[in-house]
Amino acid sequence: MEDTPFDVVILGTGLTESVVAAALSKWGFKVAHVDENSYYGGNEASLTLDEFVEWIDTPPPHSSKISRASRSSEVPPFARQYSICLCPTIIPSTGPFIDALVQSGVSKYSSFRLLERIAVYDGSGGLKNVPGSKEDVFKNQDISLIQKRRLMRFLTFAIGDFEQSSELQDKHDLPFTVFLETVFRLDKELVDVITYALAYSNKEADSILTILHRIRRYLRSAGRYGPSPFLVGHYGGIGEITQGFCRAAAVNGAVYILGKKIISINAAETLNQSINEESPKSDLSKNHPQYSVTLEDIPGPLRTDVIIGTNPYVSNQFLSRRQYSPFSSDLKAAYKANPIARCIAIIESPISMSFPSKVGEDDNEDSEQEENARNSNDKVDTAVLVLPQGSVSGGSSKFSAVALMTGEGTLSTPKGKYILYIALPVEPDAAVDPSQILHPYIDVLLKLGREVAQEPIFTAFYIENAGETSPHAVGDPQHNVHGSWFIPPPVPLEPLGDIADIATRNAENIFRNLLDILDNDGEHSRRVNTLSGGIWPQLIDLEEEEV
Amino acid sequence: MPPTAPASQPMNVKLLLIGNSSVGKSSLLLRFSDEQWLPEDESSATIGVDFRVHKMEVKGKKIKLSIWDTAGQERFRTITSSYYRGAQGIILVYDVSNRETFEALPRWYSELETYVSSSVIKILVGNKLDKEFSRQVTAAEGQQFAERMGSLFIEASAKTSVGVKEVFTEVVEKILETPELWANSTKHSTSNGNGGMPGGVQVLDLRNDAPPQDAGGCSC
Repeated sequence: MEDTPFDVVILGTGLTESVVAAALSKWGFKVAHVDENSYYGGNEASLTLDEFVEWIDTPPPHSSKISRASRSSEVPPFARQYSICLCPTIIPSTGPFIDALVQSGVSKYSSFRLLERIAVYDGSGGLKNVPGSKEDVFKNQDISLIQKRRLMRFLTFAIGDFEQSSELQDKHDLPFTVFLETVFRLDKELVDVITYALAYSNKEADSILTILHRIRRYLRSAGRYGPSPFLVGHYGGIGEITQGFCRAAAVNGAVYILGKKIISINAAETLNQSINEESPKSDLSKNHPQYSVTLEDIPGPLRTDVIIGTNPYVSNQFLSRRQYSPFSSDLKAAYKANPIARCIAIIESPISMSFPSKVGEDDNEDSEQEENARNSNDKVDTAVLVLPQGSVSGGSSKFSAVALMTGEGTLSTPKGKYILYIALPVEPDAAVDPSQILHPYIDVLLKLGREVAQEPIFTAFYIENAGETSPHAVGDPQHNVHGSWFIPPPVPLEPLGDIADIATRNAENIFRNLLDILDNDGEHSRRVNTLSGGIWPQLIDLEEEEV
Repeated sequence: MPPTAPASQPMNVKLLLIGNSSVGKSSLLLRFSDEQWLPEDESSATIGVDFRVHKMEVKGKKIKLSIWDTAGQERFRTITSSYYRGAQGIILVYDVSNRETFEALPRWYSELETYVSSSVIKILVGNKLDKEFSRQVTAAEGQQFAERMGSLFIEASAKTSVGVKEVFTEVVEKILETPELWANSTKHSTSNGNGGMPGGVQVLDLRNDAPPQDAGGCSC
């Protein structure tokens, strides 16, 4: 490898690490980005079906992240035409992630489609459309006039600056559902829709403000690229976009090495101590980097003062010293998160998104119009379906399950095939069989709008844990100037619409903290501080795009 | 162009460069798009070349070519699968004065087999023709191998410009003659999000984006 040391060696090509790699490279730092897997994306990778099968059968090394995996023995044909994302997400049209995409220029490597539909399972074989905007509320025929007016009032409240509003006064401690029922007098059905499918709230502990902020972000995202607040990434979403950040890093000089085992990571401990005692750090740090990372089949170690690496790469010898994570509270929250039972099913017809009117209500007229609406509904290619707690018999009474369907319109499947991602939080340490606890949900989803349930052509089940190991004590960056190991917080597993934004925020935090360490003369910090909030240097490659 | 011709939108064509390190991929690109040549002591492993947009006219059709470079990710064979998305033509480059780069080609072809549909047009380019005196791969060998792999073939020199323009025009002509590659041309037209513009996000229209169907073979 090169004789000159790297400013940073990054281990793992997950979303957070890749955003950091792109930002550092764009600011001119010398980055080596390494992944022991032969594919990009780590836990957020998008894999072809045959790669996914291999991943299920032989989970990545030293990972306790995935457990109890199982799959259909038969793998359907055209396996290479699938892009299965290990981290299914929908992306709000405004927010840190979209900002990072645009400001970094990575948006030119990726494309999206709008999420077409969000619906809630009604507990009796039907779905309710989720009104994501005032327009939706007007058009919705299932909601009574009076409830419509109340819902409008709530949406107006939620999209506005509600923090100081009278509605919220003294209500901060109420459960969100009670708040909706008492302050806005919404009926139970609408309360469920708002809580589970507009706010994706799965925790009773979520505070009203947390939930309201989330709803406001989503409501304000609507209309930027179309009626839906959410985008779905092509070719498997996050995993594909993560590759885009890696390419941006490579274009700016980052060195990429994948599929090579990390043989050792050594720290020059004694040397470092003597340096600290005897001389100013900056003089010697370039000549005596703290760490040397040795990779299989790659001659010469990668030398650096700074490592960013997720936990599987942190060997015990480093745990007692020097490494730290600057995000203690985020990190703890992420590790406390519930594991998720996941199902990935491949189906041959889309989940029916028709919304049959309830018997006994005013459903006699406009049958032809409705028929047409249903037909077009049935062509839905990308949709989110929420199955609230207690709505599925044999299902969870505590957590709601969320299903994301992506079809050929997201370029992630062969023609006429759809990927259905189902996620259900489970209790930590519960010895549950994911296929067993998810089966009631699959049965409901595959039966929607059909006489006979459709048979998936492939299914896989597994439990995904929130983090690899428990978090470590948080050190003080000031005392780790010479030789630092950053541990990025794990990418959250839910809610669906927040994952990319949270990971991006974490990446930005790491970048800013790194800047304090890497930036000897303070020049970069000054330049970054002139940016209004972002971390990306102004794009200068307009000549390539020739308008 | 005849004055009666309707002002038509140019057709978008996406080309990729692949091949071993230092065979002159970026040099070919810069010679073609910017008429530039960096002497060897000044050019280093690719930094900063993302892609180039070049407008040209082929057989009376206006073409907007975007030509993508590997960003140095070929060095440890870590080209992202996303690099290959939507490509209609691939330019595989080797160095006629370096046999090793020619012998590495089967591995690049097998990567193509993995990531792009079989209808994508391939052209094999023996670069550094100016180093005739130290040639290690004959033109006949190159030609023969290209034929076996169903590719076009040309020898060129980014240094002297010989053959460079032909590389790009030949591959574009062949792409224009291949209807399978245009089955999903709507996918390039974005109606939302300022796709393709700096600062934009490509959001494809819900109704127009016929899925790209590869006529058999595998896809990305």
